[in-house]
Amino acid sequence: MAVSDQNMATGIWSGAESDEADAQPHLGPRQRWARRKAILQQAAVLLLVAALAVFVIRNTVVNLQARGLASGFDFLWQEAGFQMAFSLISIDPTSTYGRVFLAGLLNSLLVAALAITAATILGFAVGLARVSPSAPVRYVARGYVEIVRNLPLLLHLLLWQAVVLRSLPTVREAIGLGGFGFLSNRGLYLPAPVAGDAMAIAVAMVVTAGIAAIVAGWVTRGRAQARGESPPRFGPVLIAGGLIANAVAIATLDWQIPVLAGFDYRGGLKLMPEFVSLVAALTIYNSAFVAEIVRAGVQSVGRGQREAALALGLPPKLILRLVIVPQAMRVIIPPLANQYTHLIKASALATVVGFPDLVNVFLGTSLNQTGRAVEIVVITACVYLALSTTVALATSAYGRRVKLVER
Amino acid sequence: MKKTMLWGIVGLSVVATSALAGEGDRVKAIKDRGELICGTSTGTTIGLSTLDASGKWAGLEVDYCRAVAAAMFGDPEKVKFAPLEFKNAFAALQSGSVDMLARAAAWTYTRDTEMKFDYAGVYMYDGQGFLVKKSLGVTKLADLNGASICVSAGTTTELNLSDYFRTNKLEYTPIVTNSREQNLANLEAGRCDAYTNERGGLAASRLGLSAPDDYVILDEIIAKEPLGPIVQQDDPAFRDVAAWTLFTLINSEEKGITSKNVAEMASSSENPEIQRMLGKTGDFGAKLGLANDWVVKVISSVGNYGEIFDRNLGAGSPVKLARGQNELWSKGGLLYAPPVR
Amino acid sequence: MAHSSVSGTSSPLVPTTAVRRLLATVVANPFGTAVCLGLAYLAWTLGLRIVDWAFVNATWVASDRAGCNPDGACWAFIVNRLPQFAFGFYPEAERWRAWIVLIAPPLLLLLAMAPEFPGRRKVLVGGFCLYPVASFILLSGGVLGLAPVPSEKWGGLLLTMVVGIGAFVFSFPVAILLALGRTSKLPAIRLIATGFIEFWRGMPLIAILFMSVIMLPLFLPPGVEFPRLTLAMTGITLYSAAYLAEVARGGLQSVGRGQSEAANALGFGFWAMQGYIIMPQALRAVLPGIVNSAISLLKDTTYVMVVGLFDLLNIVTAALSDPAWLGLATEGYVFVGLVFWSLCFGLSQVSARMERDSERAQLRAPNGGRKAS
Repeated sequence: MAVSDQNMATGIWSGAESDEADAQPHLGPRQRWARRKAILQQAAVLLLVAALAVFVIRNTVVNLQARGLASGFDFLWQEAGFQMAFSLISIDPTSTYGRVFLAGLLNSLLVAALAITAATILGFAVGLARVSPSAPVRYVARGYVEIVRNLPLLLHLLLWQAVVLRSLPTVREAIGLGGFGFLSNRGLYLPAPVAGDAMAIAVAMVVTAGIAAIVAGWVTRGRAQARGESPPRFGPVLIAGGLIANAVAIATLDWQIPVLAGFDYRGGLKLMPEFVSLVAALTIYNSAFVAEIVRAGVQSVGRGQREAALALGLPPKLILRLVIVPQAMRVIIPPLANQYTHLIKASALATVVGFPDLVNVFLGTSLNQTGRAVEIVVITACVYLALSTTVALATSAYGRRVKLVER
Repeated sequence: MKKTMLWGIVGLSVVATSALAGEGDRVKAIKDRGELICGTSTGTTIGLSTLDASGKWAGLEVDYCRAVAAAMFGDPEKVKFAPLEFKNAFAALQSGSVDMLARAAAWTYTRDTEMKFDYAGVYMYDGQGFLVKKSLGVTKLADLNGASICVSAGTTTELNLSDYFRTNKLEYTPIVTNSREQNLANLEAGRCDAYTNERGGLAASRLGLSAPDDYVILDEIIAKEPLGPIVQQDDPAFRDVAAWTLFTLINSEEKGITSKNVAEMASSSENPEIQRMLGKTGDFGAKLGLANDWVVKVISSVGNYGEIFDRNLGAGSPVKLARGQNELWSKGGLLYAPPVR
Repeated sequence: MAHSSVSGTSSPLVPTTAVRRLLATVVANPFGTAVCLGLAYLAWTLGLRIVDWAFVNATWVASDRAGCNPDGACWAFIVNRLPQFAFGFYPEAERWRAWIVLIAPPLLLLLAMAPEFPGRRKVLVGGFCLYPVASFILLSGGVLGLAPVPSEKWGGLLLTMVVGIGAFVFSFPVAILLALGRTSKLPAIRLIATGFIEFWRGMPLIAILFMSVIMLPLFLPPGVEFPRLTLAMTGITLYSAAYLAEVARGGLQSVGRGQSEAANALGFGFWAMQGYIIMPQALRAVLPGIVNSAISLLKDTTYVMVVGLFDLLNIVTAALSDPAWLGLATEGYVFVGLVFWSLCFGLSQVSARMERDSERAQLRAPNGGRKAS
């Protein structure tokens, strides 16, 4: 704990020190004056901020009264009356604004989670290509990064929305993906598993395989560490095991394949184009930044580290895994978390393409229908602040862990 | 020194708030500013409010805003247009960042009561219809079962659509976007099968498609859409100005006052109501807090309702929309303004 | 790539070395080479199609979509609308003012890339600091005999520039105050600065713009009003200030304690110490970070679309719905992309150059650029 504190703002450090200084019994006149000055300065700033808050609140109350606007959170239990094109929980016109809020929030989280996962994978691949020993690979990766990150995210999004996805064929001329899925300008249609016994069994299998892998890894690592050896490589075994478990699970499931009926495909899973373009734009844009973070992380590990590991006779693959990656990760994680926060916030661009995320259905439509501006703005702000705080807390927790491991 | 300044600022701001807090006066705010701020569409609603490449606004709603500006300042150009997406429009009016909305917003119970707005009349009687591609072979709404339907976010059409399909046990997927042009682009690309909006608006919007004749508006109307200017409830005087500007546009058409003959009428008309309207006798302007010849200014700058309609939506425009319900009551329509007495 | 280095050198040995190095890479990394060859083939075929579309079959002069070759790009759309994309609705008679505002930043950037001359940094910093205020006065007019032009008429690239650079320059002093506040010894000030920074950093810019443009009048005294452009710029400025404050804080942390102790010992007051000793070192240390913030900010200005301001991206998007030019989204967005890409890439090159310069300066420094800590 104490170690990581050292890494925080120097201001906090110096603050702690000056407290110690203040605690000393004998203060000269200069110190006493400095101390009094500090208290006065802080009081002045606090008063100013309080006055500003009073000013804003007072204005708001006056304005709300002048316009005769209702206030309160009771609207959350009122019927919203509109539908959402996509939601993870069932929404119909009789749903309340509270439920609409929840559905919007879940949609935002879904977009953010998918885009974070995809951007991380793509970004790591490109980032490692940026430091590849092969020059052409490096140039290609560099080209990708330079093209992608110098264009505004909103332009990426509009390009996907208005150029890529709108030029797809109509639903009647949908592109078949091996007879199982279909791609049209109405979205991507994929087979979906039918909920039932088969699904329960499959999920149980995958979960069991996962747990077994974790336990196996943990046990062997513990044993290897106890003996002072490097842990045995489980990667290929685990991947093969996981693949087999997943293949069996997929085979045992009942799959519902979408069929064209009337205006649209029915059955299966449908991903609307707004969703696809949003996730694609967020993924590609952020992957370029992730790539640069990864590159900087890998390059931050000094040449000496690699040379020392080579001198110790470690094979190159182990050098990457045991020497380079753990050290690079310490450099990579904080900016990576920053990028994740960026991405979560940027998912609010859904409102531009019409995907029903939190900002679109709540700060947009719901606010327009109910007129509860202050309440809705406050709720939305709280949600986003909670999300960014969560990411920040998780990062600092990770930071503490790697610090302790290091020392 | 620094502190004194801080306290000065705080004190000043508190004084400023209390001094201004009593004012709820929209008319005064507009006059102090020297121009009206009118919330309009993002500039793509053909016939109602469009923004051309040179930055010039046009349309029936735009002309109505200009008429209000002419009434208040004697100059139709003393108006600033604030392009708003529908889903932000009411919030903008409530917060006071626009003085009024002329933004194809239907007069409804909730908006008038719960949202604390006032409608200053109706400038367009319309109904909600559906625009579909002819090649789909859809002739009636029931044929749209299971279709994807484009609709603008936060509108009454979105709610009506949901009500209609629910009560008629039909299924549909809403494709909700923020603006007409997005809806049209989606319809054109086949992203949705139908686009629902006011029929008048649809007739005009159709011109924004690359092949307007490939599309047809279905006969069925699922809801009434009385479109009118919206103001806040905080200043009845401003509502009166907004309402009587609209009434005057309608009354002028009824009395045969046009942009061409208004000057002549003002000096030579024998009709006592026209004399009152045009400020020759009485104090029609003064009671509204306007100049007595305000009607002359309004009509000479934008024309009467008939001229405005004709220029933007009717025979004089590419839309060629029939007057229909938007004809004067005396000619079988619904336009009926209170008399000037 | 190896051959490109040949032309620049006279040594006959170099080609063989380069070729040998290339061969060595191929042998050492067959997978990478295969990937590269695949990509090269893809780039070749794709490149041919792009050249066909963008140049060979492209139409540059036409009065509407129908006059364009359907197999190629319809650049005529961009050509016809270029004045609008550049200046928005700025009145034609007054365009020369917009020209000056538009040309100044690239000129300053060129200056930044130009070889060192005495006072270059002063001209640069002064130029960029004066730019927002000067361009505001020049564009809005009403003084010095210039005809007034309301900010509603500003648009296109002009608006992008004014918002981007203006918000960046205005956010600078705010950011420095915030960074000082966050590293202050006084807990109350630290708390407020931290809270402020985290609030603005935690909110999506779209929500901030919505609140500042649409909702802000609700929080202001009745009768107090600002143009939409000012409101939007305020929102973006505070957002950018919060990010910039974190960059500046990084710089402050890189300046050793000894510096402030020495300044104190010499009798410097707080502001004098910050202004003459700490900040110059701190900001120089994070100069690339500052330029990166400017690049993000420039890209983020496109978000003003959601509050109905016609910046470059929005004005092109709006023009796409012109019935005479329907279906040209690709051309429109490629054009916007090229403009933004050149600006951002140019800025990133400036940043890279600064990084190199400061590295060189540190190498030259008597203590080898070592930081006291």
